[in-house]
Amino acid sequence: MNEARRSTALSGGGLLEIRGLEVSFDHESSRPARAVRGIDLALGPGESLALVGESGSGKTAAVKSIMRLHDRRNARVSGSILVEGRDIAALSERDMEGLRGRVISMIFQDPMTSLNPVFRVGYQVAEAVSRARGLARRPARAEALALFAKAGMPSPEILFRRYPHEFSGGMLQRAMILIALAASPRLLIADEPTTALDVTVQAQILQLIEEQRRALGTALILVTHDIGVVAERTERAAVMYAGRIVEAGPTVELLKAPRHPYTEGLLDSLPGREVRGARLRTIEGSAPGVFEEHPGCPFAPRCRYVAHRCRSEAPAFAYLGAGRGAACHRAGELSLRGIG
Amino acid sequence: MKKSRGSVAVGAAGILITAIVLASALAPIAAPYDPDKQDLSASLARPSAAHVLGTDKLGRDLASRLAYGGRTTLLSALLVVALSTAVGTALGLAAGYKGGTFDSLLSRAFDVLLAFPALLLALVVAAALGRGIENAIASLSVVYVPMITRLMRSACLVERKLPYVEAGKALGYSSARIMFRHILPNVAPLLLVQVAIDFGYSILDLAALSFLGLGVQPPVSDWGAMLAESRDTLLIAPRLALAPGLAIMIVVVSFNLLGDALRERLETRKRA
Repeated sequence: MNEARRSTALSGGGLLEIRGLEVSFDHESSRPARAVRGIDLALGPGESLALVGESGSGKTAAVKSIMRLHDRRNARVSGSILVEGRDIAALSERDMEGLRGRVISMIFQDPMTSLNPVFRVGYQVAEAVSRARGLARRPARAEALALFAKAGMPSPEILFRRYPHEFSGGMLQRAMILIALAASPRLLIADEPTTALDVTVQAQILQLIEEQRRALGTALILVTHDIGVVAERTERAAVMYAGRIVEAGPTVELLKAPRHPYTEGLLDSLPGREVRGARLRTIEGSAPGVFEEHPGCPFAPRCRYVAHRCRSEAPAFAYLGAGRGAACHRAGELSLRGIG
Repeated sequence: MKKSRGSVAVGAAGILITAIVLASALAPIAAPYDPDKQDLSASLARPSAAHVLGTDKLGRDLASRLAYGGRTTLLSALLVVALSTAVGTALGLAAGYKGGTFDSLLSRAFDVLLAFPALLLALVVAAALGRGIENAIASLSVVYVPMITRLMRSACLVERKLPYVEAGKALGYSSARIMFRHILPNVAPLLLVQVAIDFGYSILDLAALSFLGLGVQPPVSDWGAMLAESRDTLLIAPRLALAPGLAIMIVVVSFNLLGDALRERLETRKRA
């Protein structure tokens, strides 16, 4: 069973192995907010995984704990996270600093605020290059400029000397990608990298991430709330709901034939498949909050296939064969609609 | 309307500060007399062509003494501000960024310090260390640290939550690098306002310590010591008290004005 669970959390691992990860945040006036409620994940070198879910499903809280970015003052993280076989909970802060940026790197949602507003963008890219490769100022600058050009920045010399507020969101996110990949990390975590950007540049940004990471052999975790984005861009996908992974598998199959009603609901609410003039479909109800406890399946109140036991008994994540798995009592009997 | 009145005052403050700083800095060249040269035949001379501001009881040229006294006063104040800013910034950023026990202990300790009037505290420290300008500077530096620390701590608490700090952390930048290379430049304008205001106050406090005999020791003099000396002849020659008194007032008020103007500018920029 345990073995099966691990393999559904995909691949043999090797680069990253997460087991039983739970993250909760202390609140002064209420009980702790349970953002992540026990997830398993594994990732091999160079693999790509999409982590999909609505806002509040715990995606960001989960990936932040891989880099130990949570504020120790109010975040409680339990479970084990192994990066290249090393338990990161046991690492000293100094070792962790060595790991961040070099082994694991991260791109954030809003590029406009992720760069330091008082420094020129070029300087900040050069700073990252200098640290990553141990270069002096001048060679780091030259190298950064070369990266700018390679990332398809128009007139790199001019952009290089501009401040973040003089950039467009798309251009800044390109710079962020260069910064994050400066040290050729083994794993890149992209946390909603296109959510704050215009739809028109979304594809370009994802394309740049894909190109750059393939060139470096970097594995990718793409965190997104938009299941449509992941379709052709990741090998595997994991769907999160209320702090748990409810379904995981190879992306193509998962989209084509979902095994969890929530995944089906997500696919169903994508625009573009409804009859012209009809209302867009939605999943009825809303996701449970981080303070709520649910004795049964957390999706039961919104599930159109809900059965009796769903309300009283929480379904375990079960292996379904072909690298797939779902946390649903009825995963074996339902035939759900996918896309493609 | 209001803006133009404000900027006139600020411009005047800037000119006055420049003039006083220049006069003090150039004292060895500009001052007509040796500030310590006594000429008892010219004791308490009224302002004249020879002595622009007259002389004191011992016949020393008041204008020259004022310029040389300004050197001591301004340099000491600069030292106080530099020392307290360096220490306070480091402590404040560390407390704000790291938090935890260090922050709690430091904050409580400084709350206690801040509960006492600054001058009283400086008096206690100066009295414990002994007389002398070095000790006056040291004691005031200690007293000014908590304010700077608190300011930097609260500014750092705000910055710490901004994505660029987390992004820096995610790149593996060390805490020291994030605090001093990334957060500090972002809070520097705030620091500048405080430094300008502190500079004015430290002149006032230094003068007070000297006035009480805890600051500079003769024959060196500063504006505070000049005020103290002038007490004997206050009724005969009030200008001896007025000159250093006005100098202190002008510098303190000017620096306050500059600090306020800076703050206003920053606030409007932040709102924009």
